[in-house]
Amino acid sequence: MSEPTVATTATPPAAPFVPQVLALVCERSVPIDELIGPDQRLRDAPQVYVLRFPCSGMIKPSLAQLALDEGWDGVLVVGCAVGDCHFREGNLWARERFLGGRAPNKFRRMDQQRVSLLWRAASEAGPFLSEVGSFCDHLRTLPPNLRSDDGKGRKRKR
Amino acid sequence: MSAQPIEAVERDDVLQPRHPYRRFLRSATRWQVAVERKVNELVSYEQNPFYFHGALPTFVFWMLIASGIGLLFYYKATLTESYESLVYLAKVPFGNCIRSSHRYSADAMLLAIYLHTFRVYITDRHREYRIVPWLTGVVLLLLTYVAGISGYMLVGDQRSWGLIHQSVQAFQAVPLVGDFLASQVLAGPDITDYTVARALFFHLLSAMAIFWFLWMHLLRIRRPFMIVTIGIGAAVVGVILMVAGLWPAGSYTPVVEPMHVPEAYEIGNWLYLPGFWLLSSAGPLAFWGAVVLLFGGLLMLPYLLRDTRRNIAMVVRDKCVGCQLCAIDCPYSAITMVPTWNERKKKPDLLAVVYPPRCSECGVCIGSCDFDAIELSSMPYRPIEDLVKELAPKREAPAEAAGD
Repeated sequence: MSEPTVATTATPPAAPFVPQVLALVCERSVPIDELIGPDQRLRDAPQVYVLRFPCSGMIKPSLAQLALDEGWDGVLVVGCAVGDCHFREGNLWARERFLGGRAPNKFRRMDQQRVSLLWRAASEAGPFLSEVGSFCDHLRTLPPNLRSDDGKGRKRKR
Repeated sequence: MSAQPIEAVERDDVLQPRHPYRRFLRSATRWQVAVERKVNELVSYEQNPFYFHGALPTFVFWMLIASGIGLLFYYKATLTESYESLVYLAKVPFGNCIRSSHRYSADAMLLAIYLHTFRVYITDRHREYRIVPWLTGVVLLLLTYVAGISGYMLVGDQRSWGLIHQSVQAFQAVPLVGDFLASQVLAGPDITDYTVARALFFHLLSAMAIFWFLWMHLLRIRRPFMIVTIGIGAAVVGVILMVAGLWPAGSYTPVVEPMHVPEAYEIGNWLYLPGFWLLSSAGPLAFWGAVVLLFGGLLMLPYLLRDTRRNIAMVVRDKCVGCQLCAIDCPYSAITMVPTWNERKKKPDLLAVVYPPRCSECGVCIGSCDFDAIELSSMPYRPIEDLVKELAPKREAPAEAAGD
């Protein structure tokens, strides 16, 4: 490809890179309504935007893929502790779908560097927040997720 | 940013988060899962008995069936021979083991049922779409008591006769049908051989009824846990056999005159027989009051708190391709595939149909659908995707990353 796909700006941002994280959270796992502010962002880490689901089993891998395509730097998937799910099997299926062993995400792969699966119980706000912090630290070591570029110099389809 | 957080706005825990009972259940759940996570650190989650609370009673029930079949080979259900047959059983190789493990498995089953009930209640998994499992579970608890008490009537010692006499006394106190019920316990006007046979009949009938209600209990659960892991199973069997070896089950003094009401006998088992202590110390009214309070209270428990159901899954008919993934993944068998005519393909096809009373509004089916053909009715997926697009960080690619 010869022509640039987007308008380019020569000046890089001066501020340090703050990775923008989309958290897809099961309501029954971490006590999320005590951790978020009215803007649906984590109070301790405002770069994390929280979307609540009744169960982690409702979270489609395609939604995480969409978020990465749209330029989110990382996606957190949070469900109940493994072995326990309020709806019996939601976190099991979510885990299998995201790890790529279960339909409808059986054979697709997404950027494993930018997606993190956390399985935390309702009593574990502290471990959850520290894991969010370490995930953000990890994302800071990666380059920003550029919407127009899939990492191989090709334009994204979306 | 026009997008409101669409998720869960209409759910009751958001609508009435200050409901004191709801708050209690919520904090109790939190304490319970905290304990379970500590157990996970000791043994792995695969061996955590809290995660197999429902499979434990079933597993112990199989032990009861096995040892009960062993007992049936030796037991003689008559007035005089019931005691003697158990004395003989003690001389048979492993006879004591069979009898004692039957006795202690019964205790283990009741303890496991109470653990299961407690866990299901305290984590708020006893209401709404789980109403049928809860109600049949209460019946199962009652049947377990019937099986246990009638089992103690079979031993043929002082206590068996005491229990029969006291049951007769309790049933006679029931208005209108009391004498009829009492005669059904005795199988006649007096204690005869038929009384022992009747007790054995109730013992086996309640075991069979447990099977029937267990089927109803698990009917809507797609993949019930019926078997514990090897670690838990070995621990349960080991503990029961160890207790059975250390304190083998025995009989009290054989009865000389069955017609004569024993003045006093030892209760011996405080798991199954506390009602008889109540019966002898406070009378039939207190006994029936306690029974109604326990089982009526358990039956009423799920109705204390009702949720408004607004989020039941709906199938988008034009999008459904009949792939069955949602029906397979639904944890509560709420989705069935029905034959239908596919207008686009011009051929017969399958269509997913949601049965609303079973739907838990969890959205597991939405995650399993690759065609956006199933939606929660007040939480559609498309606005979520739009929100993700809208809130995505707007960054422009640097020059070197964009070209070439």
